[in-house]
Amino acid sequence: MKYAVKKFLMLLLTMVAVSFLAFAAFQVVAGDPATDLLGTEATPEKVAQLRHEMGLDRPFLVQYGSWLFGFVTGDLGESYSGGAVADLLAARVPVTLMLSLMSFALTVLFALPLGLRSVRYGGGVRSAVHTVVNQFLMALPPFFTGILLTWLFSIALQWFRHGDFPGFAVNVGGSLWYLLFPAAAIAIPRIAQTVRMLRSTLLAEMDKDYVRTAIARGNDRSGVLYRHVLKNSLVPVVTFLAQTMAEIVAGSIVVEQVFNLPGLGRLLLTSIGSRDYPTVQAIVVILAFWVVLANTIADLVNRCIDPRLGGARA
Amino acid sequence: MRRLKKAVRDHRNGCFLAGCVITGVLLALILLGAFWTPYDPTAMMAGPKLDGPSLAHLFGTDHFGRDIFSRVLKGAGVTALVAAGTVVIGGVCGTLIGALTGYFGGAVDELLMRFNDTITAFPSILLALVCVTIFGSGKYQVLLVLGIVFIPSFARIARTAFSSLRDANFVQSARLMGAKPARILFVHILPNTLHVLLPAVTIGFNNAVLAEASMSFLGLCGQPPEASLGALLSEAQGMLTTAPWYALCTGGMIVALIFGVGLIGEGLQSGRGERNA
Repeated sequence: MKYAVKKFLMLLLTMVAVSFLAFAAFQVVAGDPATDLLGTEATPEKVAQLRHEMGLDRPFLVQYGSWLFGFVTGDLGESYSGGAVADLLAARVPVTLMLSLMSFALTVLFALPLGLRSVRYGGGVRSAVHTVVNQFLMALPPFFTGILLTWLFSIALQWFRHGDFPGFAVNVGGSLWYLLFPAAAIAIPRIAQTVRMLRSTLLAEMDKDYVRTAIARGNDRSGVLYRHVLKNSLVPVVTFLAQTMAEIVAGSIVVEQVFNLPGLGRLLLTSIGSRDYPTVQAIVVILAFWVVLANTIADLVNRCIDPRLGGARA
Repeated sequence: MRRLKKAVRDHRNGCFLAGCVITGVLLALILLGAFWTPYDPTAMMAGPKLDGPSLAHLFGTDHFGRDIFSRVLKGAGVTALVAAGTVVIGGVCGTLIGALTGYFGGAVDELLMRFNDTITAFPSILLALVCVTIFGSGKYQVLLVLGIVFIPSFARIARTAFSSLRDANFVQSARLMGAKPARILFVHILPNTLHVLLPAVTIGFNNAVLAEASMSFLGLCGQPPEASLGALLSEAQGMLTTAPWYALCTGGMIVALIFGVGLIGEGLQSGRGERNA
């Protein structure tokens, strides 16, 4: 419990650091929004007045504090294109969240059994084929797989209609079905990477003395694999899976574009295009929080798997 | 058991060879493409419109009648250049930072690593997207941005490798003989970290190819005349119903690039890994 509290505090601290970094960066990037908004015909007095209204003449830390307070209470500021950033995001967060959760679920669902299976062949032709196929799958960029999946399932087989995402408000089942294809496009290289990682961890663990002893005492290989080796190799794998979360988020930004999904990635791109910094900033911070949260959850899960971790790593 | 291990090692070396062959062929094609392409990649009506792959047009033509093979060669050149540049910037700066902080340790090390942890919370493509809004979009801007974004991951790997060898016997004896830190770092420790750093370079290269292709796919780098593979793929997506070979050949080029270098990395990793284990 103490460990969980400690981790939670660390999480808050990291989130503050991450948001501070993002805020400071956008302070530099955005330049002076008041001048931008008023255009070239602005008089210095008008600029000064608008700066005061927008709170830009306050000290940097005060501005950060009020922005962070707003962020926590759900007020993400005003978009340059008019309207509250929170309203813009509200409809899009579920799409990206669901997409990354589905890709993650697919990754775990396929990678664990495949990884465990791959340990059975330690060398020889099957192992060589495994390595090559695995490397090939790792080389598939999500946006290319996305295009291939579109071609196969939308144009050739017509299982779903590309560009026609129903939205969660209208049709939940249909939306999930549509999301399955982009999720698969993101997940395929991740599955390959996780299988590779799991396989090398398991193989290293299989070489240890206790495994030899267990087999020598008459346990069958798969029993030892599931009961002892898997448990002992899970910790680095869970950490690795948390890191893939960052890659899944990155992949979803691009794949949303391929599948015409109204998610955070699409909004991010249009906002970058129109230099709408408050929106960009909010999205960047939300995505980063999502990654940090995944890492903390991984730490907690690892602690449950291996209680020794608390003292050494916290 | 030993025979099994030997078999594993041998096929891993096979990986290395196969990777070298694939990468070598692609490199030759890219170099060729830099000086000569079968057709002018931007010339309209180099052949019939929307023609499938044939001997005259290896990858077919698009709806303007442009030769896709020529376009892919040029595009692969841009992608490979940006990826290589990224790895050089990220690798050199990252190794330097990682070497210094790993070897000397102390407060600066602590501070930089915390900063590093914070940075890795942002997916690298997200950072790159945001940075492009500062530097503007274009081949060299993207190269610079990606290079900077890739520094932390190299720094982390180098730091771990250097700090683990900081108190090794051969380092201490070098120190006793009066070697200066610069000599210890780069003459004594660096060669012993290559088995970690070289695979990291191949992984970094692949990530850079992926990042560059993603960004140009999103339309954030490369002006139309010098479109990179990602931009071509985004163009190809619009012609998916009329010219599916366009997407297939362009995407296939990206896959081949990553696959080849990935195999090299795989071979490097285990070829030396066993000796150092």
